[in-house]
Amino acid sequence: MTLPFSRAFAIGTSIISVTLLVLVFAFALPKFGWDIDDVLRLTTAEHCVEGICERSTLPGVGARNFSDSIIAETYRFEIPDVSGEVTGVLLPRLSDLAQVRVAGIAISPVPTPDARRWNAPFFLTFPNVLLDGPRRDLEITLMAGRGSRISLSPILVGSVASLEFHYQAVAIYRVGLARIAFGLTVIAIFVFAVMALLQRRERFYRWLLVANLAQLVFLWHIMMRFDPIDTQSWLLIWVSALHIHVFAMYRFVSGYLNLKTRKLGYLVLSVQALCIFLIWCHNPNWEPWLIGIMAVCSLILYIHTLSFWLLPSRRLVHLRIALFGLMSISAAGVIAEALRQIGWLVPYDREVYHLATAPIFLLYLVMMIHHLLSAQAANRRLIRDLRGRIKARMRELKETHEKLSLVVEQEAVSHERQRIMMDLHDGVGGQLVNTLAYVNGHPQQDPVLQDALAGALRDLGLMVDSLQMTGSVVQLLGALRRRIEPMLETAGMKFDWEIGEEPQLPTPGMMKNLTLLRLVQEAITNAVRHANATTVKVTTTQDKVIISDDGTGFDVALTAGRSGIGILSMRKRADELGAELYITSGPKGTSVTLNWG
Amino acid sequence: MNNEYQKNNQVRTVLIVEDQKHTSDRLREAIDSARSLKVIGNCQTMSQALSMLANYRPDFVLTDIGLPDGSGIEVIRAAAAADWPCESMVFTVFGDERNVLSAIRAGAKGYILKTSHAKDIVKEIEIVLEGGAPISPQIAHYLLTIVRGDTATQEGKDLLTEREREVLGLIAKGYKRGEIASQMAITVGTVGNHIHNIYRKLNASSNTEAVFIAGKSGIL
Repeated sequence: MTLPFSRAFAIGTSIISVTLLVLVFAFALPKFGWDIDDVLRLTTAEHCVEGICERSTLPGVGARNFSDSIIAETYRFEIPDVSGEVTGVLLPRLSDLAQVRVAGIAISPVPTPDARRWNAPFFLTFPNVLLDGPRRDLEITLMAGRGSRISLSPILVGSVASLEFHYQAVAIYRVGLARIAFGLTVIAIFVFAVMALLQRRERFYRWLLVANLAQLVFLWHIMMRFDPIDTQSWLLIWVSALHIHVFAMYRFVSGYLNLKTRKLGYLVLSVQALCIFLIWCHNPNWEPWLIGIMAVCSLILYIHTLSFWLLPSRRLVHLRIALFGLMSISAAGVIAEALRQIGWLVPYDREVYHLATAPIFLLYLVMMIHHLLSAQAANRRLIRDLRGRIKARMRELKETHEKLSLVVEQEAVSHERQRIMMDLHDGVGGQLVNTLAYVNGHPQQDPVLQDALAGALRDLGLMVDSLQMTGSVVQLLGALRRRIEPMLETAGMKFDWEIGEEPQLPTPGMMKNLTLLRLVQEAITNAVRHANATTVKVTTTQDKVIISDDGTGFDVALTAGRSGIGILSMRKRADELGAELYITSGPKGTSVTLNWG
Repeated sequence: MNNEYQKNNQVRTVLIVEDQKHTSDRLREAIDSARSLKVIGNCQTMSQALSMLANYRPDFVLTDIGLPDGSGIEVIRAAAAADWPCESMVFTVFGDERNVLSAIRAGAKGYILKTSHAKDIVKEIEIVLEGGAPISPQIAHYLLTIVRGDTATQEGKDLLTEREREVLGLIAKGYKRGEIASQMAITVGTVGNHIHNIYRKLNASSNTEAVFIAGKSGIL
């Protein structure tokens, strides 16, 4: 599965999905809510602003106060005479400070700026006797300082027992969720701070940390209601936090996906910094516009960030789509809240800003789980790889060990060979030489004995050569020439040495070499003894050894018939070598060919 | 006695070190039969050989390797270290690798087989005394093992030139100097020079033996 979107397509899809989600919020949210028994819902009141009173239907939403003075408005309700007990009043939504009177008697303390209730319900109880008199009216005076507005949603009156549950439900939804989010953000900050420290190469963890710090400031505002510093400065700080959060998420996503894009982020950040500066300069007329510009900038950046998830890629497609969805929901929540604030499309009494953080936490959760899973998979791969390497190394080690022991063994064999050689040399060889010298020097010459001794020495020489010169057949033949040449010279003959290519015996080896040497020697000896020749020619090719002479020749058939000993033993040796032996003879000489091609 | 004797008569003196009596006798007979050579002494042990070498100051020493009281290599080494020109050769039954190679390393000019004909023995000695360097296919084979590129070290490879290796290869195959000269289209003298250089390099290279042994046992 791949994401085939181009950049434009990705941005388009992001805009469409966020818009759709905002519409879902706008049209689905009003359907939620519940009716409570034993409770009266008062939706009309007499609304007085600066002494001018008129009937109005709730919710009533006043303009935001951009002046430095405190503005005040009053709503007066008539409590109908109903059968049920009326001992409590619940104001689910109001802004910003409220004082409540029943039958002209104050049942709430005089409001102080700390008691702002812009996101918390107000629940008051009063003694039933207050309504026993002729006046059954309930008067709510609302006040708002700079930056706030006056508003009131339909109020509920009834028994304390019935109202209390409703109050708690509203309190949990509007303040409790923010507190939970605040707690989770603190944990997330801790986690991402540790991750940023441990995984310095993964820079996106730092941006997640920044995003969460910004979120903490924003949630503080929702949770605590009062401003820790003067209202103007605090307003600037938490508005900035909101936009810094957007920038941090932009950097996180681009870092997470290894994108090198930064220009738009810094442009947006610069524009917003300028706006903050201008707000700081106290021009109340510009303020709504500047806040609007900042919001539009962040919206553009956020849509841009969202589109990153949809850029063409084969990697992590499911994860990308999931994270895209979660971030879209979060964005839609914030946009719905903004629309609610300006009183367009989203009803005033359906705030969703608490919910905007929930998808972001889900995003963290999904990311961390994915990270853990992929780390585990990487670990498994690593372990498998390491196991494989250990196995390979073990095999190598074993092979090396075997080779080494083979070398040691070969060395031992070589030493043993040397020892046998020395024995032959110093013992048998020396004795044979000495005996031959004695026989040669004896007045009574014995050619048979001399021949036998010389033959034995020659054969010992061949054995020594074939034991020592294991590698090369042509070099063994070279050594043979040196050993056998004196015999030819004695007979007044010479070699025509045509040793060229290295013969490749069917089954190479020390003993086969010796067999070949003996065969060649036999052929040469035959030529010297019987052929009456002057030249013996020895030729090699890859698959042939040929020994020929220029002698008188003999009848091959006749010799074979009589089973000539020399020829018989040559045939036996050829069989041992796995080669064919051809002997041709005529008046121009004899040729012995050993062929295994 | 020797130096004047040698110069005046042009007869070179030879010391024989051989513990087998008949072999020794026959060798003495062979050498004495040559007009240019004279056996100045023959002995059976290493200690005798060393003292005779010092006393008689021979021009040439022909020694067996396995002596009753030590190695002929020591005799060769003493001859090489002598303060007068003294050549030496190994007298061996088979010309086997172990003895021949260390003898050459000690300074011997090759070996003579005990089975050689009398005239060949004399010829070989004369060649060496005239400054030649006899070489056998067996020795060539050992030297080739040393310089063989695939098993020996870089040092072994660089030891000989391409031409020298070619000469060695042909000798190992059994070709004689004349045959090599015509095959390579050079003079017999040039072939001799190559062989001389091969010996010189072999003697100069201090760890040839180590390289050779390493190459043989397959460690390198």
